[in-house]
Amino acid sequence: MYVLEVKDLTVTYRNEERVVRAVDNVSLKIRKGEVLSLVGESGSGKTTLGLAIIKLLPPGTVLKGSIMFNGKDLIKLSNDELRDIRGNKISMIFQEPMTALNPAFTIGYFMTDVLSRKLKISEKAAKNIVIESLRKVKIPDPETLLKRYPHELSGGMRQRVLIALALTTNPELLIADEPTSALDVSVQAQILRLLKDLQREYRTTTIFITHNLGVAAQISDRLAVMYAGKIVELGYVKDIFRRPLHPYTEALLRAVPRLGSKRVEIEPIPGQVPDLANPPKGCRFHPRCPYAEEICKVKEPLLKDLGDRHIACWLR
Amino acid sequence: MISLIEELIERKLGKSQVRMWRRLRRNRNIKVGGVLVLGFIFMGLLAPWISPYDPLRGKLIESLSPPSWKHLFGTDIQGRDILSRVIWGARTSMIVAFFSIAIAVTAGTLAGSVAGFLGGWVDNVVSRVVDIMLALPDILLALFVAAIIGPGLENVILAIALYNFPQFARISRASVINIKQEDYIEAAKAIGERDVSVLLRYILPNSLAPVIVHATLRTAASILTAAGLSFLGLGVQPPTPEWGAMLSDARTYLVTAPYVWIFPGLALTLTALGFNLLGDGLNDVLNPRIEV
Amino acid sequence: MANVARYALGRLLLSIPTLIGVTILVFLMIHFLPGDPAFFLAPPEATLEEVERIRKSLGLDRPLYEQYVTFITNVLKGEFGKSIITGHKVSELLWPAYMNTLILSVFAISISIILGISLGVLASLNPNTLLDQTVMSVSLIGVSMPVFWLGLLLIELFAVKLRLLPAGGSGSPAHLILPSLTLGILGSAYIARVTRASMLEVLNRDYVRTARAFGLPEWRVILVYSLRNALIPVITVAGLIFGYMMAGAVLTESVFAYPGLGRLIVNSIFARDYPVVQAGLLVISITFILVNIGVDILYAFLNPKVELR
Repeated sequence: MYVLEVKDLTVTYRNEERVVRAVDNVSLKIRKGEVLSLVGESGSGKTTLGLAIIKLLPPGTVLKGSIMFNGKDLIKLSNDELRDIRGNKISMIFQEPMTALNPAFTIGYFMTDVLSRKLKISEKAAKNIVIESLRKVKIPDPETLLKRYPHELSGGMRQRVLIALALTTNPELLIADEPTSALDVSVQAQILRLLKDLQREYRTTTIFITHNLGVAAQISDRLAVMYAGKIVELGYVKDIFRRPLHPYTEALLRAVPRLGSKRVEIEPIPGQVPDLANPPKGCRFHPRCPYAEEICKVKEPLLKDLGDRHIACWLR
Repeated sequence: MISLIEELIERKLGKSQVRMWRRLRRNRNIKVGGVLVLGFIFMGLLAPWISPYDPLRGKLIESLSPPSWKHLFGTDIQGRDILSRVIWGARTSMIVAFFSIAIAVTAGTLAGSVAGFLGGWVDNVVSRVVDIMLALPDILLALFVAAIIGPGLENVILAIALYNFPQFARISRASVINIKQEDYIEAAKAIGERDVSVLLRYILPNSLAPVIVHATLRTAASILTAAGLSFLGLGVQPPTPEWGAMLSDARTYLVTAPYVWIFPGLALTLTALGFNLLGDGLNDVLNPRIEV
Repeated sequence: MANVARYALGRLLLSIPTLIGVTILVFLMIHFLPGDPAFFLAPPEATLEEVERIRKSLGLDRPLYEQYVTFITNVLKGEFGKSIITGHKVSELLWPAYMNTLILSVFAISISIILGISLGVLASLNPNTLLDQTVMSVSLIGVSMPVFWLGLLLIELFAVKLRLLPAGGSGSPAHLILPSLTLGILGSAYIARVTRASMLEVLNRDYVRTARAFGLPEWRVILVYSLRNALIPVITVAGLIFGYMMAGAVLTESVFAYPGLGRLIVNSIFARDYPVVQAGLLVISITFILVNIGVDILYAFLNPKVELR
């Protein structure tokens, strides 16, 4: 039922002499076929969480807790087992398509190399599969594309290539880290639509990382709002949008302009994202929270299970 | 005492310069390289006082004696004390390095800065000349000079200065062109500062960092090049003590008296190492790269 | 491909003024010497009449630009005149020496590339470890060492103490070993540093992360998807070092009494054999410039994003 179960995950790394907890005691479960968005500002830990699952964090990073996938704890797996899973059972696409592909190799070379190894087939067979998958992501004339180098392609095209590569092995989990953020607005819409179509067709379980609530709303079933390394709210998209419970979520929604709403002004959230080497005591959001009370400054609220909704706040 | 220096820097040059000074002090390359370089400079400056013997006079009876308490590094074929010659050799190398690099830096920075600042045909002409001068390696240029005007200390200085001049011209030109486009230059011009003033007060100080680093590294190379020329017999002429020349004598006594050439070569290596370390360290501090 | 050809052409054209400048420099060398050029080009014991004859036959009484044209035409024909000392044709002395230096440089650069790249890659894969720091320190010392001192050390070790290899001269492949090793070790110091720096940069790039994210085996990520990119600046540096070896092997050749072009030039300078000096300097300078052009073209070939300035 649950493709991925993250329990009490903490990710720490050292920066010069300070210890930074990028992800602090996070737990979450993802059901098969659903799209869960991790939403938050930069520094919230959402990207780190994504990288932790696939174990692509820089050396020197410490992981505590467990990430259960297919009955195995990913944190405890050997390098060889992880390498087997990557690109095969768990695929990841990244934010910057412009730098994600090696400029010295043709698209065809890289894709056939990956797929022939992952699917354990010959290079010739892989080539055909590559062409098929490129067609699936709506790339016109895939045969010619194989001979092209990355710098000959636009950002949107490169991202399609990466999406094709990620989905061809039919992964059990796809992690998409801000796949549209670095693209032009019109291209963003195209890629987003492509992802939605593919999701509808293949029902791939997806973790979608974004800072954009609007994008999250379009593509996800459930939403996890992250702040300063912790999940502060978790629930179905429609529920959260209709009735946000956590003050941070509320503030995020208020900061997004929406058509049809009566508000004219966008309200930014006062204050700044906290320093993760030295987070505020108690609830991490309290310095910026309009409802903060005494208890918020002292004790850290745990994620409360309200049924379909989880919330980490003393006041709700 | 260090804190006194820091206070002075802060008062005269400002807080950010104190931070720079601290960073310089902490860098290990600078510390080790600095010690070696200072040692070398002191050896050269104080040679007349710290050298145990006269480097030019030797007792033939003591010719080619191995290291002993009397002669710590031994003596050469003419009975001259090798330690003294090594110490005085530092002086020779120091003179060559200092003058050749000073000339190259001054002339090069001047030419490059002016070319970069003025642009236009001045820039074109200077760049062309510099390109042609950059076409040859140092040994070759030095051989040219030696073939035409003969060997000798001054000619070595000329040859090395000539070789390094276009490098500094290129560096300062690139630096100046970069800085020229910065906003604060526009601002200075907008409030009516004259060109020369802008060049001297803003552009030059900020373009110094790459020049300083390169000058340090080139000093190392120049000392080695000068030694190489002397080794060939085309540089500093005997009997002036020079490390490279001392190695040239060595070929004859390879087996019998290795101390004749091991110590001068070691001196060359340590000195060049010092300048290279210093240059690397300065580069780390003055041109910080963003580490991922 | 067509891009590279266009770049190559452009680069060659751009360097014509430099090449011409160098030939002018070499040509004028004789005339910069204090005194009458005819005296320098005549054998030392020549009488006044013989000097006059030589002056006429070499056209030294003609205007400068005419002399230059003759000079260039002769050079292009391979005619470099006659050695003052031996009386033989300069070209007979020149080409064997040139070939010797070429052979030496080729061996040396091969050693540098193999040793330097291996050490550099190893260091970059284990940054800040003892291995890395050792490699870096040793290469720094290598860069600071005078090449002739290293040569002497190697002679002391291999030729004297161990009696394994000849100390100098030529005539057998064994005579090549120590000189190539000397130059090669120094060259590898530079190449190791550049390789390490380049690999470190490449290993941090997004595309390496992508290769890992798709579960490619680690050896492939490093040796195929990182090394290929990292080697581009390394190859160009190697090319430049090769040029320096050709031009600067003179010190090594002196230590080992190896009959290369550098040694020929230096000996001729001492003997005041100016035709040989001229020819030698000309040939080596042109070689160096051509090698540099070759390196630029190679870089353009490896890095498709390069444009002509």
